[in-house]
Amino acid sequence: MSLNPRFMYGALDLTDFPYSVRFGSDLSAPETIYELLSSMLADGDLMVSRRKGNRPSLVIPILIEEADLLANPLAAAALEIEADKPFNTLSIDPGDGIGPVTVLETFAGAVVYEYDEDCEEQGFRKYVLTMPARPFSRSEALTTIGSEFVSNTVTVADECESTSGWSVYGSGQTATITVDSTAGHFASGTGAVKLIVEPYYYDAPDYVTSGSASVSAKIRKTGLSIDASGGGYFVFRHRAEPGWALQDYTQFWLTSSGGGRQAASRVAAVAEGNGYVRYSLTIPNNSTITAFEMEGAQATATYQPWGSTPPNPGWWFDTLGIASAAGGNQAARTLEIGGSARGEGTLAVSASVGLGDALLYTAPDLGDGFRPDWRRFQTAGTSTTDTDAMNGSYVPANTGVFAAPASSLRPGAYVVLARVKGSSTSVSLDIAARTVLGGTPIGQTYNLTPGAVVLPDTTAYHVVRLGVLDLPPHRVDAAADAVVRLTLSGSATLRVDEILTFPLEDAALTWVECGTGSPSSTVASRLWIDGPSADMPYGQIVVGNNANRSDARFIQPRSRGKHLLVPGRMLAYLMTSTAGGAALSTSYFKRWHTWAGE
Amino acid sequence: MADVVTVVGGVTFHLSEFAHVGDLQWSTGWPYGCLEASWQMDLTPNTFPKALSKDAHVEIWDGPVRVWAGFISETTPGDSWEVHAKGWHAAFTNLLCLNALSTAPSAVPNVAVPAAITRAGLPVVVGSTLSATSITSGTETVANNYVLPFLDAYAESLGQRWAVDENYVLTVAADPTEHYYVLNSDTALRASADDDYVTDIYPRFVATVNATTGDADSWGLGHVGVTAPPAGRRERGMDVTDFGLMTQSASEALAQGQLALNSARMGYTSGFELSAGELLRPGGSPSRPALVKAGRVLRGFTVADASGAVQLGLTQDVLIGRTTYTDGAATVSVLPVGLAPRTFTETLRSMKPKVEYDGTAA
Repeated sequence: MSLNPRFMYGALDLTDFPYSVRFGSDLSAPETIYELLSSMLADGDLMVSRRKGNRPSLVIPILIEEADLLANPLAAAALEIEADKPFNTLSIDPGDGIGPVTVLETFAGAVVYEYDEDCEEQGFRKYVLTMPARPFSRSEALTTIGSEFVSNTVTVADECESTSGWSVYGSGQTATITVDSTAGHFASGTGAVKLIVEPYYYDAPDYVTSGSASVSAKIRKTGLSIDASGGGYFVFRHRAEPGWALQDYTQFWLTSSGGGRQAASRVAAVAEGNGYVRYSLTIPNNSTITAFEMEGAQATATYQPWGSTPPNPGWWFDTLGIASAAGGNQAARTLEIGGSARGEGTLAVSASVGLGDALLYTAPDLGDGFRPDWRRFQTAGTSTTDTDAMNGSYVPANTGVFAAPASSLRPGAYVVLARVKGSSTSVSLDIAARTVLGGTPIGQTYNLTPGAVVLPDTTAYHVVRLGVLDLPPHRVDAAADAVVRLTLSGSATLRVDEILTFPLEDAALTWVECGTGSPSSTVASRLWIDGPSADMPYGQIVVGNNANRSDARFIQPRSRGKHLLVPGRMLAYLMTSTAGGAALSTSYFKRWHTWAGE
Repeated sequence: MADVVTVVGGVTFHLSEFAHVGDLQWSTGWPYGCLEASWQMDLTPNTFPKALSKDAHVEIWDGPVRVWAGFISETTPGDSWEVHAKGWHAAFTNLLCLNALSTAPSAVPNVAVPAAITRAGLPVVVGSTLSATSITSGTETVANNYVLPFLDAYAESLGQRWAVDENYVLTVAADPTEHYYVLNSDTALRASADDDYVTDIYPRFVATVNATTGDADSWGLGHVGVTAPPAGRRERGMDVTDFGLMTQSASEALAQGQLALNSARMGYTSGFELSAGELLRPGGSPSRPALVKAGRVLRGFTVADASGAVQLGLTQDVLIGRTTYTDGAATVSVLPVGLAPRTFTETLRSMKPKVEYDGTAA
């Protein structure tokens, strides 16, 4: 193929008369900065890289061909002006007519003249343009990811209490399909459909090493009749034997009466009780969904040496149905971030009324089903209806107990917030955290004693910061059947609407008080979190009411997070305490190590 | 990365909005709580943002968590400004122990300390119950004393230490016995220094006072000791004559307090540099280096100390006396209580003149 590449430096086309790019360009590369991780290893060092340094020096050799040596320096001057700009861009179109444009963000550079007698005689001059650049290149166009969250309420169409319609369709695959009614094995109703898929592949262990077993199943459920004409998301609940959870690259298809079989993408994964994870998929066509398929769910488990039988995984499915877009005040969603390198972008939250306490938490989605809110895991304590509470009810601070799966809590320090309403402005709320394994509490109890928490008033719910808890209190194997139990103690007149825990590692939490009620100059229904960039090294947080930002103004946040957008899946949790159904949109440039992929 | 926030006249400033904040470092101690913080800012030499006013309240936030609180003590302008801050305990170095109406010096903890806080308008809240009894023989002292040495003397008399933490709470408490952190590595500390090792303390106290002149007439000697000292006998005299007239048992109570703080054990000659994976909570969750603070007990495994007091192979608990953390670093520097000065820095620090408390009753 013939290539016709184009280099645009700012507004200057370096591949168009009088400029041309000679051979010998060097796009340099991001610098990997290593740190040594301390360990108990006897030899060698563990090297980690937490960040990349700039591309030290891009080199673009240029030839300026003008009619004479009067016009030549004028053309060179235009180049020097571009090189002097503190921030500039170098856009490279690879030139095959198909590949996308790659943009490198550059800093001020140098233009060095190379004397060549033959060139001078012709009125040509050789220059070498060098400059440092930001580590990663980016795509030319901004990517915007839309916005809806999935409601927690599922309209169940199939309770999965019958095996009819379930099959495996991989070549040569068979499955033992049963209905499992054992307590603790189903999420709702009286049972769940359990599939044990064969063949699964295993490396037979020898006397010394352990073996590994894996399965790549193609599972199909037909005979559904789910009305998706109102939109929403397809939801199913899945449970796996420890170690056999669905992998990230599992693919899903939904067959609908109006659109045939189409791929569906995962938008959320939420850990629930009994080892279940609730998955939400996009609906490709708003007609009636007739079949659900899942493929390529490779999972591996190890087993002990010779003489033991390889494990045979069981997968349970329960409650296939539809969930609408969330209308509630808190919701979680998976963001699919493209590109091959991490970067920053703008996160925009919007609703029709004042957002109240807006908390946005983003972190790479580890697939462990983690969510910061604990009220949905309430196991004890009387809930009393209260329309002012986000959850529709409150639990008094002297009785609430919550228990979340320990596997969803990666070990580390968590900041604990609560949304409460008190009958006096000075309230006390203590939290005791304990790991419960197989029903028996183990290890120490960690107490969070925030001391006196001061509320601004006694007339409304407020989000308050309680302190830091190291969770889980007693670490267990990820596959263990354990929960972390939080027991509240405090004044009976303190109404607890929600308890939130956010990990402090690799996670970003931004908390802004936007005001409640109708949008006005003091109440904001829109919030923009602009990530740092070359023009705005610290980014900014602004609020307003107009989508075009014409009334956007600065606001001091209660907490400010660095929302890094990491390629792959990111978990986004949004709470807007007084605005139901808020939307989140993310705008960013996809970032790449050198050449943009799209 | 941590954020620095200052408050001047009720207005909150986020320093990173003015200029780049670099080299942020803070330290905590037990006693005293938040010790020092320092950072650099890329401001031009001739600017002076109100945000850096002397005595401005400073808070360092690690995301949504406050990790350090204090006030600005010194700024050094230049092409790159250096700003130093001190924890709120340092405010007590320049406040006197007076009674509520400021008519006389007071030696009663729950009078002198709240009065000083109110006079200076400090954001400190008293968390522990301070004693309503004077720590010397009278409620009023002859000399003026500063609150910091007063709190030092009061805490020592109870065998405790005091601190003002990042939540502005002043606590006087005994050293914790339950361990808070666990060392997940084979790093160990050997206690081998006997600089502060003492087994017997003999307090010299004023036994009687001349009725006419008020001068001390006769003196007595008390004694407290450790029953089974781990190593040899080391005696130390303690001069409590400044506390005025007292009984033998009262003098021995003071001496017992000092003995409890040292616990007849060897001192340490070095500290740790701990990284995130090395420091765990007892249940196994890793501790965040930025959140490590002094006043907690760290349990290490394996070694005996030079006095043979800890059995080989079992655990050794170290009370953290000082932590220093540089923002963004993966490690935190931890020094134990009872660190014997061996490096130049440590020696200088130990030689800093300490203001003594003069409790002679009026």
